[in-house]
Amino acid sequence: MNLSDYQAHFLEFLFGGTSKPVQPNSEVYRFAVEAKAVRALRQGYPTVRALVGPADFEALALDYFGMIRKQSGDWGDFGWGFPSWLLSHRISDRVPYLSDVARLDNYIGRVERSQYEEVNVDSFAVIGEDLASCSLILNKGLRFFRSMYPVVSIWEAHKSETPKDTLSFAQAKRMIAKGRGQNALIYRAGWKGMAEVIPEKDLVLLESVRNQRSIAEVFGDDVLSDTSFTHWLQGMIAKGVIVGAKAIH
Amino acid sequence: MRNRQATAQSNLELKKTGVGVGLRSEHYQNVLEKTPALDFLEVHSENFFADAGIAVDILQEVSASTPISLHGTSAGLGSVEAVPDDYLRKLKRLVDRVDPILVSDHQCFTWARIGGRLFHGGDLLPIPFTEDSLRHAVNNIDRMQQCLGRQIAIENVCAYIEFDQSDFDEASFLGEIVARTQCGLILDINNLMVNARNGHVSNLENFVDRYVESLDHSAITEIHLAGSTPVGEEELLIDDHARPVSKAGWQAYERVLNAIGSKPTLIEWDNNLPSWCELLGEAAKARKAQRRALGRERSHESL
Repeated sequence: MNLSDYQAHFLEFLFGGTSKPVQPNSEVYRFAVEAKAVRALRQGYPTVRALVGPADFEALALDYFGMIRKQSGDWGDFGWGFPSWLLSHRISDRVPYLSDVARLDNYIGRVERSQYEEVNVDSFAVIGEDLASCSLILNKGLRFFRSMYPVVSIWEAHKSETPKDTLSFAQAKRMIAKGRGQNALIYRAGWKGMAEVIPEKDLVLLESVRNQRSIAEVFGDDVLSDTSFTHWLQGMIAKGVIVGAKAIH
Repeated sequence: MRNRQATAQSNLELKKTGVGVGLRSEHYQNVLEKTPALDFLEVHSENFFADAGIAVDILQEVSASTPISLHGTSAGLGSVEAVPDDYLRKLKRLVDRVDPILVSDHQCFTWARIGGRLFHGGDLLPIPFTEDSLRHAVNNIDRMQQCLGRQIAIENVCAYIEFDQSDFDEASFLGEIVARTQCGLILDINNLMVNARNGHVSNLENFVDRYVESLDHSAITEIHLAGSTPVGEEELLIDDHARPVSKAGWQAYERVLNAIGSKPTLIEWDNNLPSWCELLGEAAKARKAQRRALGRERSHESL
């Protein structure tokens, strides 16, 4: 076996693609790598683990590792595809909201590791009379998405050691029974990733801001006289969701 | 990178009696509260590859007061495949951020192509000491040194498997790499001892002495010390960095210092982490051993 084949075969063995070890004791490496894969996913998906329990989570993590394998040198990158992979896993028949919860966990992790823009207060000076020629700037580091499930309440409840004792758990249970979902906004407070529910109207507004549509298009021509807009904008700036304004043509 | 002198290094230079410990997230608070009386702190490079976030910010803050040694665990410099550009780009960004005193990784492979796609093995995977392995290791080390614009160092690893075929023993293999790339060496004494124990070497002292004797001492930029959890006689000893340095480890360290002179030394402890104070206690032991060795060096010089 040449060197290239040896190295490829070794990785195939680590990923469980072949049960035939390259050399005696190769399983030492497989055990070590599997343990690292489980640990990486455990750190990245704490809510998923809390929902399914440690044993099922480990089985899921090992399935994922064997199927998707590792493609980056950074364990912190491992598992970005876990939420979508879960969709096709049989566990989603039993826990249909698991993929969306994983997505929320994943976004929290991404927000915590991404370049989070600072608010540029001076830039808001470009907002003049012609609202069609300026737009708001959305923080590139944040995330938001729609879910058919109450993902934020589930996430909030499972931060507790005893999720069932929380109000969020009761709320999530009620919403699941009624088939209602939540829109999640994921942002950073200091270094910590946070999630909160936002109304559909806000989510549509943020999508429009992300698409760099003008303030006039998104909010209307006379929005500056609307106090509810001012409050909304102040809240978004305080959370670092909106980080500035810019002139557009 | 053929010329060690020509490589751009950090503005900082580590004294040969420097002692440092591995900084892990559990001890961030200790280091932020009080700058440790250490010559350097070692971190695993890949843990700081993120664009931003708490780990990156803390490391940058710590690096302002304590020199950092960046120790990679994932470059896989012995891979047939070239270390990917994305990996090198992230490492370069980290080097620019913290201006480390040393950049290092291991003599092992980890990248390989399966069905045309590149994968990462996630561990320090052993390579045979052949001409073919040497060629790929040299290419990857050269490439990394070119990319970073500085010298790197490579470390001897624990290998739990044996190869039928080899063109070199490990020390000669490392010597060839140094000669061809002008990289530095990290001498991990615990890895040597684990390999000797798993290979049923009867005379450990002789094994370590002969290994060290065959290295280019001037290339050794750092010594690593660690402890492993003892196992039964028939079991493999795993280099788990989960214990204090053993008595045999300290003895081997002193012999190495006597043989090669003082070198910057790192205490590695990655699992079953002790308190920060206990870790600093291990560093203090290394410092005492360094002083004893330095004393012997000076008394030899005065003769």
